[in-house]
Amino acid sequence: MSTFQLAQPASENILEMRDIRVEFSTGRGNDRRKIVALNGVDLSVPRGTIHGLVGESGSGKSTLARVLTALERSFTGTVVFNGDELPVRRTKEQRRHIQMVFQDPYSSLDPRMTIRQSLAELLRVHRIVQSRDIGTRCLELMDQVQLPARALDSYPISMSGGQRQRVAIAKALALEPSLLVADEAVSALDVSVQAGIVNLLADLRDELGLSVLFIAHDLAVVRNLCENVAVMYRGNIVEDGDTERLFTEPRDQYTRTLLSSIPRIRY
Amino acid sequence: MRGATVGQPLLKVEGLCVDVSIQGGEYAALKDVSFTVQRAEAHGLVGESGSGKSLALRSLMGLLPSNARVSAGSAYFNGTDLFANNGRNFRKIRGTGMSMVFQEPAVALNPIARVGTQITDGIAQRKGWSRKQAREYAVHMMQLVGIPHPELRVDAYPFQLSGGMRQRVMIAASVACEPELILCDEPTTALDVTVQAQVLALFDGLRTELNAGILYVTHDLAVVSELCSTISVLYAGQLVESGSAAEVLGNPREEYTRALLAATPRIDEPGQRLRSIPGTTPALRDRPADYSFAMRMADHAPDSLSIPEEH
Repeated sequence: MSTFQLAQPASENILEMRDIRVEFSTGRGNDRRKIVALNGVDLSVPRGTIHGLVGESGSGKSTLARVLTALERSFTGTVVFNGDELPVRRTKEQRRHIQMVFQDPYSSLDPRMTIRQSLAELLRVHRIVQSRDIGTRCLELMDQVQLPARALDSYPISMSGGQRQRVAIAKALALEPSLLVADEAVSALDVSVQAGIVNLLADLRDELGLSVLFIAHDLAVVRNLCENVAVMYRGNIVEDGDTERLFTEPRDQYTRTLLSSIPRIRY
Repeated sequence: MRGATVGQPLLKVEGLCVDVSIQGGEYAALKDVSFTVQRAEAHGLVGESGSGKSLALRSLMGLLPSNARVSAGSAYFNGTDLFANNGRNFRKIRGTGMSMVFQEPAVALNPIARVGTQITDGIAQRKGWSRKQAREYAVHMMQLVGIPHPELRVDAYPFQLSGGMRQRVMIAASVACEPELILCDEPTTALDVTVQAQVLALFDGLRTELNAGILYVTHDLAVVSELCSTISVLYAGQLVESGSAAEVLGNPREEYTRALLAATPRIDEPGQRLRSIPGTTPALRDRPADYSFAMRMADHAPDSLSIPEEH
């Protein structure tokens, strides 16, 4: 594997979000309304674990991810990363540590760049390695996401959805982040391909000690992959804890409804 | 009625072949696909992207894209040959005989017509109803599919409703004429799991109460297991395996079905490492005429030179 450098451990939790509140306003004139997207959310992600985040559409999962990655800047509350509070406006170095993988592998890569060009640009801009080492680093990244070295000189158009999602993960890993935010990263994939990406995330956790916030609506995937799960409902985290306990002894009424709705393979 | 051997099945598809022409070439997208749906039976048509499951559904409704055509085979609905008579039989059957629920209600619904009108357009014309009668029926149907406060929502436009509510409007419109067969093209894929459970319960109610047959296309084995008593598994345009849901899911005979099951995360069996299927279904143009799942596995054997999709 590579000389992957994680941020030095400074606290037990890689991430602590405290009392995060986001409000949007919609409509005009008399229709003007305030929508509370996040209503004082607390979330902690222990180092080296995959933390699931589930909930229905509109519950605030993606807004939370956007606050975390500083894509959403109008919020109140604190984001503590690796023991340090992150400001709303972050430096390049602070942004580097939290990377995101998006849902749609077809729209998240530049169609005009080969995979090597995409990765090299990131490595150069963030000065991750010296110019002469970029080639080696690209090869290491391909190895980490279990793609052959030949894939470096391909364009996204010649790749399948699963391969593109691996490239998206490689791009995130290029910046040597400590926390990966996967926002429905396996939802658009066929089940046969999804299994490979789920296994890859588990391998990255086990081999690199990477921490992942895994946003998903498929609870079967979450139960298979995550150490802990948080359940969101209407801008609040209604339950958060050990995956097995949450699935076997749910405490919150909404969690129980959610669990009883899961389709099961019976025979 | 389920599993009845007497009388004719509601839908009998035999040797269905669909060809698609792409840039002058003809490619077989469906090859010799046969299955039956009985009254009050839900039949699941399962497969990955590129398996041809949606194409099969569309050919039964006469809604194939212009570059696709049924090249061989037959489909009998209540004894009527759907493909005979130059496609004119579809017109008699659509709506009252069979109807379709599409995957994406935001696309399938008319954005500038009120949902109540869209639900009753078909039946009001057939029965010559007044606007008031149609409106009352729309409210009744919306209530049936579990839309809260239907009397307020009947005049809403699709954009004013949530995704789940829109999908229910679609279902209400599809079943408004009380069809004998409902064709479903992944109708719950875009829905939250709680809404999905309600929609599945709704289909099950239509099956038992209206005696409707359901042909349900999906890639989700768990959804099929919840709703369907019989299953056909498609791979790259070919029928791989079919039988009762319990047989196919509990004791699959074919390698592809087993691979699909091993790749599916189980809510009841956590902690097991999933087994991904290497490679993907090749695009129609890149498939040899005799393509099979065994060839995909051979292509992606550990010592193979092709790009391994999964490990």
